[in-house]
Amino acid sequence: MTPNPSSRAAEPNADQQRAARREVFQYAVRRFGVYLFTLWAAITVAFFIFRLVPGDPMNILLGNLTRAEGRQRDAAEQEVIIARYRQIFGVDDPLPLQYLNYLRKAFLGGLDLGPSFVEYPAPTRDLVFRRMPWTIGIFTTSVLLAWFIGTGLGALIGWLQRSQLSKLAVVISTLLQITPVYLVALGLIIYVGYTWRILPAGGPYARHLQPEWTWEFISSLLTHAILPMLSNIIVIGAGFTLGMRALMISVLGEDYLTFARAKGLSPFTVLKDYAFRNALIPQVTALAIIVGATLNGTFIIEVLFQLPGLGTLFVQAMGLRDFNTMQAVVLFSIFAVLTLTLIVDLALPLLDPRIRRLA
Amino acid sequence: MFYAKRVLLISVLALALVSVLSLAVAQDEELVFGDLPRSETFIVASQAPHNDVWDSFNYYQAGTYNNATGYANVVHEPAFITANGFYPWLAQSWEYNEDGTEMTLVITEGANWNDGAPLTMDDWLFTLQYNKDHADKGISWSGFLANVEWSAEGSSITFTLPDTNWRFHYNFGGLGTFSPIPKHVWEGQDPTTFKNPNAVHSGPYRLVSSNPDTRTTIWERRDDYWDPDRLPAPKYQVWLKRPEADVAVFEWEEGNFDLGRMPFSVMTRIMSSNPHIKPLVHQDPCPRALIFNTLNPPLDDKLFRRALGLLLNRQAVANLANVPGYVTPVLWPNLGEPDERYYDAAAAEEFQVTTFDPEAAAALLDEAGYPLVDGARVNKDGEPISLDALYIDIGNPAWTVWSWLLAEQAELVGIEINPRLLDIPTFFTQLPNGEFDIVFRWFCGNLPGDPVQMFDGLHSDNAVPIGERAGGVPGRYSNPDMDALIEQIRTADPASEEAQSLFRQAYRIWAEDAPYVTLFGENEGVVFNSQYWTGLAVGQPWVHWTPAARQIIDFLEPAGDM
Repeated sequence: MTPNPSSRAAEPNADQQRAARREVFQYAVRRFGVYLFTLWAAITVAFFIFRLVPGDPMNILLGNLTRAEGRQRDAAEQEVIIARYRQIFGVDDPLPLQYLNYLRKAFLGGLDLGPSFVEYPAPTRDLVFRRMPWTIGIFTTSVLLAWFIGTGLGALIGWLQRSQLSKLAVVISTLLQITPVYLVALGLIIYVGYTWRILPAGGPYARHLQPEWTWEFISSLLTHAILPMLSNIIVIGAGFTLGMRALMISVLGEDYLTFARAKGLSPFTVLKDYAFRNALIPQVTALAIIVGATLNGTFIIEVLFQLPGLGTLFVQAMGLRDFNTMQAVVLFSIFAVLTLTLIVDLALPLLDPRIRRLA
Repeated sequence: MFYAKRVLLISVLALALVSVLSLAVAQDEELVFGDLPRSETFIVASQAPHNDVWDSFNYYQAGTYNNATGYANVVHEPAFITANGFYPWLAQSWEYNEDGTEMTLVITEGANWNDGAPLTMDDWLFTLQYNKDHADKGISWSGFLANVEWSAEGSSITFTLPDTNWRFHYNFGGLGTFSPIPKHVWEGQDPTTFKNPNAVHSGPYRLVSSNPDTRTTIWERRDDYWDPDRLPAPKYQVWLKRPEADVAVFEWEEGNFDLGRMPFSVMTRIMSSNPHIKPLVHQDPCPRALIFNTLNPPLDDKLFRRALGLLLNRQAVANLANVPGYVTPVLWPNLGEPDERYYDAAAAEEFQVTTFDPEAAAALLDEAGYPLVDGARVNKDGEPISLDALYIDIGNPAWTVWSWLLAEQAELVGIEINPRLLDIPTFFTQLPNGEFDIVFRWFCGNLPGDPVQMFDGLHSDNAVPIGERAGGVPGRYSNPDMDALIEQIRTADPASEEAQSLFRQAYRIWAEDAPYVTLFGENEGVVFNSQYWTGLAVGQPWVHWTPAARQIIDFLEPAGDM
């Protein structure tokens, strides 16, 4: 438990404990209800918004075919192809009916999100599940690493706020935080990948390999993951560093820290058990938000590093107006953000007795 | 003793030297993609289309037509390759009966599939029936078989056609046309879902691997190819998705790719960094044009349309495109020199086809009743004329500069033209739906000696209301005289004097009505790395998105510059 002196004011009796548990339970139910409603609203908005984007996928399909084959199809042939694909994609039905069908198939049909244009006849669900590990593996891991590094570094910089090194670190972190992640990525590709040839500059693994449990494949996978992860770690880590520094500075002015120092505790104990732990809670919330934002914001990293993740899939789907796939990727992102936020919200009362009491 | 020690020492040193030299020789063989010798591997950095499919080799799937893997280019062979003419491949010849209601196709005997099975008449007949049976599934190369019957004898297939059709053989020899498929692979398979996982077809390569994660397909040459005289030199071909151009530049500079398309804007840099990289310029077979929406006033007036044609400075477009020889002004019907048999030179001169003359344009506008009022041309209702000119940007400068030059010239004669850049999906939606005033487009499909594609799309069958999808040229053009000519052209033997006369008449109407105007012929920007392979030269009709690539790779020879 966080050693906040105010939390030790009085031990609650059994009735108070039951009431507190009931309140926490009600809070969890309320929070879960909000979660379900937000999820439904997001699905609904995503369904309609992508169908309002200009560009008919059937026309795009034929247009790309014309470009690829280098020939014009006669009108009759075009009509047959369009009719066939309109039927497959179910776009001839009225929009409300399409929406209901979508919900029915998605929730009662084993997460059937419809067919994809990007890799027709592969179902959208399969595409998302196949691409998801790349996005989760590389980007979520990099965000977690950025969080750990940034939080540790930020705590240290905040603690040593008056030192010259700390001031320099703040300047560097600020510069890195405002640098677009794609610039960092391009810099790494150009210098680390091509100029110094230290690490592979693109692709998920060496082109001649197939996924299998061999050291050659695993080592290739890991070395290819370093630069994209580093791009994220540098930029997001800088943000976490600055955030944690600010939290630490605000905590350092609290009375209980003065009290702890007055008790004669060592500076390290004060930092670890009093300052750091109290500054940590908002930083945990920030992590949940950043993980979600990173899922949405790292598409360009995947494209630059030629990674077969959800970002690349979304860009491909956008080019074809493959609304089933676009929608699925967005839904995944929304689901991830909402779920993480829910988990953090539900976990916060366990971490912090003040929040539990408020709940 | 001393002598023995010296012998031993020398022996050890000699052994060490031999080992080092052996190692050096062994290491001299550069390997790529695992264990492929670089000197035997041809690497193509392709521009994969958006539908990025690397594990399906099925061209019936309209949604997954894919030439990024190389399947279209080095494995899937056509009946005839058309690159400046018809070249026999899986078929040898065709012949029509007297009235053009029957065509006999002679197939190539002795061909085989890349899994070793023979390619026989059975496969041809199976494919014809297969396509016809699945026509309702929206598959390619099935529509032309409607109401057509066929019978086989020896190595000939005779097609009985419902009407006179002197162009039936185009279905076997144009770009992206009918080709037989192996019966033993496809029988019982659904053409819309089957992936043809082993990439079986008749080309000289077999599939080694294809990976959707890395977007890489590796092919290995087979020794049992049915025509040993046309066995390509590279033992391996690797087709991969090119990284984004900003990143791909480095790969080219290091010589990691052998062939691929790159934006002109970076080609100069690549070539200056790596002297082995050469431009492989060739003329794209699809000339560019501007289509006018003839339902939108004042574009419904042929004089107004011709006036706009006179405002197009094609030479300036070519100059601004910034690469010498990249864009050439074009006189139709053909790219290059017009073929006099199909071309009415007098009409071209009379209606100033491809002429840039702003003064003549202003005079024409005055004559047509679009006066200049307070510096602006007004329409028949007295309102200032304002038009949108739509274009897309795929990195070729000429695709964009024409609109700005046209707007600049139009402003000088008092017309407001607003260039509007569209993203590709929106473009492909608005174009067939007729949601434009002026739009840029390419015209594909003209074959040598038959410019039918120039006129066929102008039939009024395509003049559907705006908002409905139109085939052909989507400008909603309608002219009964042109319709009558098109209908005659469709059934006439293109080689006959009768057809040529019809073409000349149609050309005159087209020149006078200007439903669309020619813009330029464009060269493809392809770069070729001559460090490992030679044989490809400027001007060869390399179009790596068509089966013509199958023919071109036969020119490749090892560079011997290792």
